[in-house]
Amino acid sequence: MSDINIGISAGEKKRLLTGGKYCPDDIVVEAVGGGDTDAAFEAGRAAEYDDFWNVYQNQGKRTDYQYAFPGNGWTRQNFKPKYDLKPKYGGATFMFRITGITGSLTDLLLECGVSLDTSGLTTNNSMFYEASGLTDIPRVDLSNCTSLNLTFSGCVSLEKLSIVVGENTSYTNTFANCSALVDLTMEGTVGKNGLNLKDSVSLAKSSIVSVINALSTATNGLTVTLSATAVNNAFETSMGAADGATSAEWAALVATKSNWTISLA
Amino acid sequence: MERKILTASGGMVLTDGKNYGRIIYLAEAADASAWYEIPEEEYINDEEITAEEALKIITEGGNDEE
Repeated sequence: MSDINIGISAGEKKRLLTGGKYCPDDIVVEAVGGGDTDAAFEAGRAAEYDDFWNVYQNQGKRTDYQYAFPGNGWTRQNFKPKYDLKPKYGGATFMFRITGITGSLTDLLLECGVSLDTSGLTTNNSMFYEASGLTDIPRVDLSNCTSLNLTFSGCVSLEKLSIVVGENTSYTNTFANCSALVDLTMEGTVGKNGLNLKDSVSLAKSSIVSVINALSTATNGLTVTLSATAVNNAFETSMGAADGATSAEWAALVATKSNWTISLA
Repeated sequence: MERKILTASGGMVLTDGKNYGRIIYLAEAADASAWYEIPEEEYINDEEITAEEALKIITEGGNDEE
């Protein structure tokens, strides 16, 4: 059996003559509904959106987001979470690994009317590993994490980042290849092991100050590595001199954390 | 106490085996003799991280940065 097009519009009726061959009476076909096909399409799309995200985010109760949005299949067009994102424990591993989502994640989440709450994470390994198209990430509270391994590694377009860290957090290649990072705010204390920001060659002065201020005064034997280019440009004494590492301002800042070895790479 | 500052020679990089840099502001209690120079090319090669190493860092915690 195949479909036939009888060519009627919404609200119209058409009588199909049977001649009593297949059934005793003629068949009357009436087209109901329709009329506003755009509205019907939008209603269908909204229902599909609800269905998908209700399942994908378990009605907002999902806490394990490991590998949730990785790869080029996820874009600004289809990443439209319905509920707040609240990964817990180790549930953010590879969450945005090599994601195709580009631009500002902060703005995108705002558009969706949802937030990213990472305060329940106890480890955060590779959450944004090689998320190379993201330019900024909303403030993330990682203060309960014991490790931040490769968390932002390979975020080569990331310009702005604000993180809250805990004194017991360890860092391994956390900021590797974050070469575009300008605006970094670190709240909390860095105290368990060192920190390496050598690839962040464009860090602003306020960012460098934020990092140095976050270094614990109660530890010994730890090293923080910064980009020499970043320090020379951020603290330069006159326009274009790139002599920041010899400035009094930098020397004064370094002096506030004499318990740390500070390396300029 | 004044900090000791170590500066690498041209074409060289200072390392203590874990950390690398061209200018090192030593912590007051740090041992300057722990730092030595290596050629810049070795530093670049040392800093490369392979996919296997990345996986190890992710799954096992890897080597802390300090």
